[in-house]
Parts: sequence; structure tokens; C-alpha cells
Amino acid sequence: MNLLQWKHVVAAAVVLGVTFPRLAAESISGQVVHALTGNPLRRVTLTAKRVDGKGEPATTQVDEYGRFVFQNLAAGGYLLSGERNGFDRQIHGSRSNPNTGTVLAVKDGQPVTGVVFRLFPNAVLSGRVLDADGEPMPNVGVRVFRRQFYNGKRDWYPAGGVQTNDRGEYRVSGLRAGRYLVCAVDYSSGFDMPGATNGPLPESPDRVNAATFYPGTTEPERAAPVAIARGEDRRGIDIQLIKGTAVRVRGRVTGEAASAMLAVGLRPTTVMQAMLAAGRGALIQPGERTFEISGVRPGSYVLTVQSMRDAPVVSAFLPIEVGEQHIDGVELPLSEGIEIAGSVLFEGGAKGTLVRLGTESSLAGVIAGPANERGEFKLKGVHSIPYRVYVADLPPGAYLRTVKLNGQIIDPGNVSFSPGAKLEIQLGKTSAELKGVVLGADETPFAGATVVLIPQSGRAALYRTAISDQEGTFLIKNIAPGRYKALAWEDLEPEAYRDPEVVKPVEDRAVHVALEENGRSEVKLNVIPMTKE
Amino acid sequence: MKCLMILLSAALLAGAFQEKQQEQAKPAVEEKKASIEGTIVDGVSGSPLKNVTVMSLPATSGGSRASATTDEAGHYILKDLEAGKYMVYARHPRHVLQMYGSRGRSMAGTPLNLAAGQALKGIDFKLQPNAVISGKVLDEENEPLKDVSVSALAPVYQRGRRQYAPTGGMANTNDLGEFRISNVAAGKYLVVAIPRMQGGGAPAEDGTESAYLPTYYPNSPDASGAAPVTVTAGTEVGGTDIRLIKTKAVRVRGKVLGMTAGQRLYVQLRQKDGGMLGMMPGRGAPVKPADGSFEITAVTPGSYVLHVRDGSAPRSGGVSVPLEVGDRPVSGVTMDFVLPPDVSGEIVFDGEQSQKPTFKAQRIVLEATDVGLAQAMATAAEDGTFQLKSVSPGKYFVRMMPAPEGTYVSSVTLGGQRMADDGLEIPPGGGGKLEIKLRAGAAQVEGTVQDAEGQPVSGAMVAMIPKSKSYLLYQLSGADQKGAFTFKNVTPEDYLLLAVQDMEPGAHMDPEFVKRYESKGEKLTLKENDRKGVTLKLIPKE
Repeated sequence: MNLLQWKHVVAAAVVLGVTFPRLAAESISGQVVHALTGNPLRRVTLTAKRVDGKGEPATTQVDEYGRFVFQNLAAGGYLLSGERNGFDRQIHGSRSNPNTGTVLAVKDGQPVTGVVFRLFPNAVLSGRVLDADGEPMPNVGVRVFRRQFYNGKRDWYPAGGVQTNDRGEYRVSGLRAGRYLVCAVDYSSGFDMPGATNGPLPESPDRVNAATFYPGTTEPERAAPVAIARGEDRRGIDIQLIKGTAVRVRGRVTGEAASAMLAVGLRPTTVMQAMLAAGRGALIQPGERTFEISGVRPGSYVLTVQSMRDAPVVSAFLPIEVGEQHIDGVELPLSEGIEIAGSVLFEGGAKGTLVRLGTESSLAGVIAGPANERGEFKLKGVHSIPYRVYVADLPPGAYLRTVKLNGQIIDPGNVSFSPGAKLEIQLGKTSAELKGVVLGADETPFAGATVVLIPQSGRAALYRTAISDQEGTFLIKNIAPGRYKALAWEDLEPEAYRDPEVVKPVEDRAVHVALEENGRSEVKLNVIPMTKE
Repeated sequence: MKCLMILLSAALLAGAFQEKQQEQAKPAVEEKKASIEGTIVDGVSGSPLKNVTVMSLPATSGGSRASATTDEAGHYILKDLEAGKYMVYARHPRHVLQMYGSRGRSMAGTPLNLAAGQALKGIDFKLQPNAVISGKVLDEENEPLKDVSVSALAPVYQRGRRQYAPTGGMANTNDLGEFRISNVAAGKYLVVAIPRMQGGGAPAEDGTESAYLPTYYPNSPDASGAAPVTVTAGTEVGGTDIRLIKTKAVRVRGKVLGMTAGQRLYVQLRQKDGGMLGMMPGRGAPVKPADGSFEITAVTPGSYVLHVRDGSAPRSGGVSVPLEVGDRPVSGVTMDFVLPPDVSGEIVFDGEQSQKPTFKAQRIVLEATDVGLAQAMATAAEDGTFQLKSVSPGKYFVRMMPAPEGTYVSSVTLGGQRMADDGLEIPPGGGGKLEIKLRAGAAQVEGTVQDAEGQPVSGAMVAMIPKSKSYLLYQLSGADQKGAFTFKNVTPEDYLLLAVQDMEPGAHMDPEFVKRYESKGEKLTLKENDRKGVTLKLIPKE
């Protein structure tokens, strides 16, 4: 919005007899406008929150002309966020990192005026799904995957989904700017496949509607990503479903007999495929041993068996590759698993700390056991598959320092257990602090930068971040002792700092810090400027 | 669509159960394979439909699921079928899913009895094209609202009482506030919009905030002010715009005491006496593990039940307290979270030990007498003992699924207290041992449904209504294509048998309905070991 338009609004306000509220010294005032049209926006709820996290956030509503005033604010740096029907919550001035934006510095006796908050409407991606004959497909799932970072890996992650209506149309709204893969999945296809028989399997595979990516491929590698800008209304992302092969997987459970019904599931090994598979499975009646699952698309799976919820837990897990041919004679050895004992060590006690064993893509669910007052815990139903050991509900100020298996320090990300195994989890105190200032090109304080502490160990849980305030300063408390690299970015996508490819080119900007227990350190960081688009 | 899938899964599971029950009857010799064939046309235009999926679901042992697709002429054939009883359905994306022989909104169809080697022809379907109810959901300033759930409600019978349920399907509004409920069968519906996420912002200075009420088309807070929408097959009822009613709401804050490490507690507000629509989405909150506190936003005034359960222990029950919410914020609600105790029990055989059946995975089901509340379930061991995990206190019907061949439940007692016809009260302490007494000598009824001319009628629903009106003794059975039906494992009692034309599902539990047709039904007194044959005249609908 330029000055001329602002004058018009003021003029209109005066004509209509609207009086401006008198501004207190410590205040932020301005106007919210539609980012794409520049028109003032009514009915917006705004929140002002201090960058340093101190104090309660203040909220206010804009008036009929989109104008707002936050009165009586304490001095400090503020981030403004706004939301309204059709405009999801967003921070004023935010770019790649939705958690930061323009920091407004409120100083004693100086009001911040004339803030123009450009609010972007929700981006929408829309299109139609058709069957092989070009007829609209109702009730088909449309899943979108966004290219982003998660657990230090850049990959396609689920970012939303809808169902087509009776005309085969869909609209996915509220998407962040970015690149997306769009996939149509007919979850009902293959649902009514013939059931298990005792006869021989047919020679040829069955045919089902395959999960189809825009513009028309069953392979994610060959899909065309759709780039969405902020507030964009992207139409015409039409997908015609492709028919593909589906096979049957037949086998039996062996080992400990089950007294209850067993559920057999076939779970894809990747997050994307898990979203796109229509939960193939079968039930085994009590006393029976055989199963047959139909409608299975080629790919990598883990075959799982678990007893139904009201019976003792027995289970089995088996990785399986499915190709273009039916599979017969799979054997799944059932077992109750083993029990693992261990202890959590922490000065001051670790009672209540929750020790968890997770599996890749949560294939086998999560096993959890709380530590008692002596720090001891038990984990039941552990199988001979790799687990990730992690902790939750930690005592205040604690972090996971080391994990020992039978006295040896191990990588908690990949642990296999044998009977009699003993786990020892050592917690440490997050006692160190780092203070610093972020400077811009002209050596002046830089507000709103994303500050990141990268642990030399690379341990995901030890990364720390902060946002620089109006003076360019930041303070990170409760840091686990150790060696770190400190970096500050003007604009960075969330989690991108976990990617070595992102960090490498700016390595020379990093400041190395070694923090001891209860250590205090101070750094000066030069901001890494935003790359011009 | 999801609803239909669930229904189908249930049908498949039911088939599996029955299959199990009659395993012993499996023939040892290889029999000739049977087939079912027919033609499928569009119910409005009459033209043949291609690419319709037809599927057979076995209702007895030995049968197998088979599927086929219609050709250009709408013709299908299900081959290689074993002899037995089957349900058959047809599914096409642009038509209403149909069980063979089902009428109206009912999913129940006509079972088909196949003899070995029989080629059953003429099993034709007229599929109704999907009807659509479409419109927009708007706020008080006519701005569109996204992610609002919109349901088409029709009255269905629940334990003999008519209640509105989302039988017509549901849809969510898109970012333009538009919804399209498709797959709607012809009929009369109420359309209700139920907002989900609310109370995101900060409340006003007096602690109140605004929230949208579930609103009936066009602008009513309850069913009595709603305008019904009439849908005919294959048409679209457009312009069903719903303006949500804004109201004052408050927050409910409190604390759960007695939480232990590792628990993931969740509180949920359920409308008291809300029936099937009592659970509004989003009226819940997680309990903070650190201090046990919780906050539920945007609660509209009313009578509620606040329920706490442990998300990390899905098998366990929870704790409930009543809660009245007015127009002032509610704080300081405290509740003790003590996991309800397990209820252990045993199936006891009452009779000659030589007749004692073997227990093979009999499931014990506790069904809350309040419609829509939770169930508890356990599987009995071979010695008949079972343990129901962490049962919430309350009133339940106790049933066994399936009853062993030829047996019936003669009594259910908890700590010596006998289950009455209106259920069994399980007190907070558990109440002692649950004993299910089983007797041999269940009665059996076989029969045929005929029309006024004495010709067998295909696919009628036959109801057995116990004189005691005891909920667990009501039975229903669908007559097959030759009008034949069977009731097994019948508890000795006086019964009324009714076969009313196009009976609405569940109507047989409605005393009004029964009274209307009572004089035209067949009365039967069944004693232990009775096997009775009966011929029923189909009663025309009044």
C-alpha cells in the first residue's frame, strides 16, 4: 500500500466521522492489507508476541478499515501475527521461516507507527481426478507431498489431503509456498478383490487403479512437482488414474499358537508409500494359521502380525519385496517378544522418565516404559528388529547424554536386542548458556535472524535455535555441554539447518564454541543474507 | 464413502464369524462349482452399466469372496462358487452402493442360497445414480467457512427409538465454503453443519469467546427448526446454504489428579443425552503431563459429561463426571483419574457335563445401555474364563458372540447380582465376578415367508420379538431368494414372529410398530430343545 492509498483511507475515515484513538507512547499501530490486492482487510485478529518470549502475548482486532493499535506495550522487540477466515495465521514480514519475520522494536517513549501488514490468502491447489475412460472419479483421495526437511533429511513429506467430490473435483487449501507432488489414490480400488481360497493362485496378477501422480505416472520419481507461491490459486492439476497390477500375498503364521484373532498387515516401508497404500491386511481366526492379502501393489513392505486388542500380545515382523507375481508360502514366526530391563541415571533422580523404543515408520508401534524412583524401567514385547531408543518426560534440565547396551556406548538410533540385554541411559544437565549478537552487512544489529547451534555430535535432539531481537541479541539457555557451531541466517526454511548441503557453503561464517558444564559464552555472528530469488 | 466401507468391512467380518461357527459342516468331497449371474442397469435411464464391481460375500462356511466386473452390456458372472449362502453387492463410483435385494435406505439385502453346481441367473440390479445435496456454509457476514463438517441426517431406529443419524452421508466444506454430499439415497433429510476447530484466538476480557453452534439448514440451532430437504434418485438439491449461528462460549479449565508417568490423558466433553450426535468434534483437549492441567476452548452453554481416558492404553476405560456449563468460564474442575478395575468372569455350563460345548474364542461384549457410549470386549479362554480390561462404571448389556452351537445364555450375574432386562450396573469398584450361565437345548425356528397367494417371497426381513421385551433376545433374519429363514440359538421364551413388507431396520424394537402388526404375526412358545417350523404371511406395509 502506498502513501496515496493510505491518505484515501484516512480521508474516508474522517468523512465517516471515525476518530483515531490517541496513541500511547509504547504502542504499535498500522494497517492490515490483502497482500495480493492491497485492499484493507477487515475482521483480522492480531497478536503481538515478544521475540525473547517474555510477557503475555497481546491480541487485538482490526477496525472496519483494517487499522490496528496495540497500546501499553512493554519495551522490547515484537513479532506480529495475524489471521482471519481464509487467511491462516502468519507472521508480519515472514518469508521462508514461518516462525520469524520483521521484528518491531518498541522503545520507551517512541510509538511504532505506519506498519503495513500484508496478509496472504491461503494458497489453493485444485483440479479433477478422472478414471481411465476420462469419467470423473468421486471419493478419491488426493494427497499432496511437500519438499522439505524432516529429521535432517530433505524429502517429500505429507502436507495435506482431501477427497474428490462427486464431480471428481478437489481443492487443497492452506498450503505453504513450496514445491508439491500431487497424487490421486482410489482407496476403494482392490477392496473388492476375491477372497482367500484353498485353490491355486491364478496365473496372472489382478488389476487395480494405481496411486497416480500428477501429471500421469505411478512413480514419484517421474512426477512433475507443482510450485505454489504464497497466496496462489493454482488450478487445473488434473490427474487421470492409471491401471496397475496388484498381487496376492499368501502365507501362514508359525510358532506360539494364538488364542485370539490375529490381524495381518502389509505396511509400506516409506512414509510416502504408507500414505498411498490402502491399508492392505487380513484377519486370521483363532486357531487358524493361514492368511491371504489381495490387491497388493509392487513395492517394499513389512508384513506384520499382531493379536487383536483384547488378547495377550504376540506378533511377528518380516520385510518382504512384492513384484509383479503372486506370492505364496510366506512364513511368519509368532512370538511374545522378550523383556528388556534397564535404568535411567540422573543426579536428582529420573523418576517418571519415559524410555521408548520406536521403529522405522512406526511399523511395530512404540514400546514404552516409565522409570521408577530408582530409575529402573522394563520394556516388554521387544522383537528382533532394529529400534531407536529415545526418552520423553525428562526431569527439568535433563538431556539424553549416552545410551549403553550391556556396558558399551551405542548409537541409540539403531539398536537390536537379544535376551538378557541391559540398557543404561545416562542423562546429563543442560546447564550451559550462550549469549550473542547478530550483525548485518554494515555491522549494525540485525533483528529477526534465525540463530542455530549445530552440535558437533550431530545428535538431532541437541540442535538449538533462537530468533535475534530488536537489538540483534539472543540468549540460549539450558544447552547440553559440548562443541557447537553457531550460525545466523536472515531467512531459512525450518529444519534446513540440519542439511549438510545447506550448512557447507556458509561454513566460513560459523563461530565455533565449546561449552562446559555450567559454561557461559558469548559470540558475535554475521548474518548470512537471504539468497535473491 | 468411508461409511460404506465400514459397513462393508462389518459385513465381511460378520461373514467371517458365521463361517467360523459352522466349520464342522464343511464337506469333505469336492463339489461342483456354482455361479451367479445377472445384468446391471441404471435405475433411472435403464441403460446397461459397465465397469460395475460385483462381489459375493459368503454368509456360511466354505464359501469364498468372488468378484466380477460388468461388461459393455452390463452383464456379470460370479464363477467358481461353493454351495452355500451368499450376500451380493454392486459398487459403481457414480451410483449408490447396493446389496442385492435391499430396499430403501437399508443395507440389508436378500441372501442367495446356492446348491452345488447351480447356475443362478437373473440376479439383476437397478443401481440408483448418486443424488447430491450441495450448498455453502457461511458465517454471520456471509463469508464462506472451510473445514466445516456437513451431514445429511435421517431418522433411524436405535433400540426401538427413532433418532437422527448421519445416514445420508457427510462432506467437508472446501476453502470456498462449498460442500457436496454425494452418494445420497432418495429420501428426506435434515442437513446440519458442525464446525470443528474453534476458540483459536484469545478470549475477551470477561473470559468469554464466540463460537459457532452446530446449525441446521437453513439457520436453526436444533432439529425442530430445520427445513427438511427431499432428494430424488440421481438429482442434485443445490443451494442448501447454511448460515452458522454465532454464540457466546467459554473455556473449561481444570486438573486431573492421580496421573502416573507415561500416561497420555485426554479430556473430552460429550453432550449429555446427545445420543449419536452427542460427540461434537473438537470438544476436547490433552492433559498436560507436567501438572495435569487442561483447557477446553469454545464450549457453548449446556449439560455435558466430561470424560478422561488414557490414550497410551487404548484397552482401558476412563472416568466421567457430569458438568454444567453456563455463560461464565469454568475453572477449577478437578477429577481423580483412577483406572477402572478389570472385571473377570467365567462362562459356566449349566447342564449335563457330557453336553458341555467347547469354548473356542467366544467374545464377551459389554454394550453400554446409553447409545453411543463405549463398549468393552474380551475373548474367553478354552476353560471359559475371561478378563474385561479396565471397565468404566456404568450400565451394560452383556452378550456372548457367538453362542456355541445349540446353546443359549440363561443368566448373567455380577457378584451374584442378576442382569435385568434393562441391563447390568457395573459399580466403580468392579462389583465382583461376572458369570455367564450357558445352557444346552436352545430352540430353533425354521420357516418360509409367503405372499397372500401362498407363493414364497424373496428377501423379506423376519423379526422375533420376545414377550419379555428383553433387548438381548430380539432377533432378525433375512429370508433368502426362496423365502426361507432360520433362527438358531434361541432362548426359550414366548415370541411374536413378524415379516412386514419393507420393514425399516430396527423397527421391530419399537413398541408402536409391534403393536400395529401384532395381530397379523405368528405367536410361538419355545421350550428347551424345541425345533419348530413356521410359515409366515408377508404383512403388507400400512
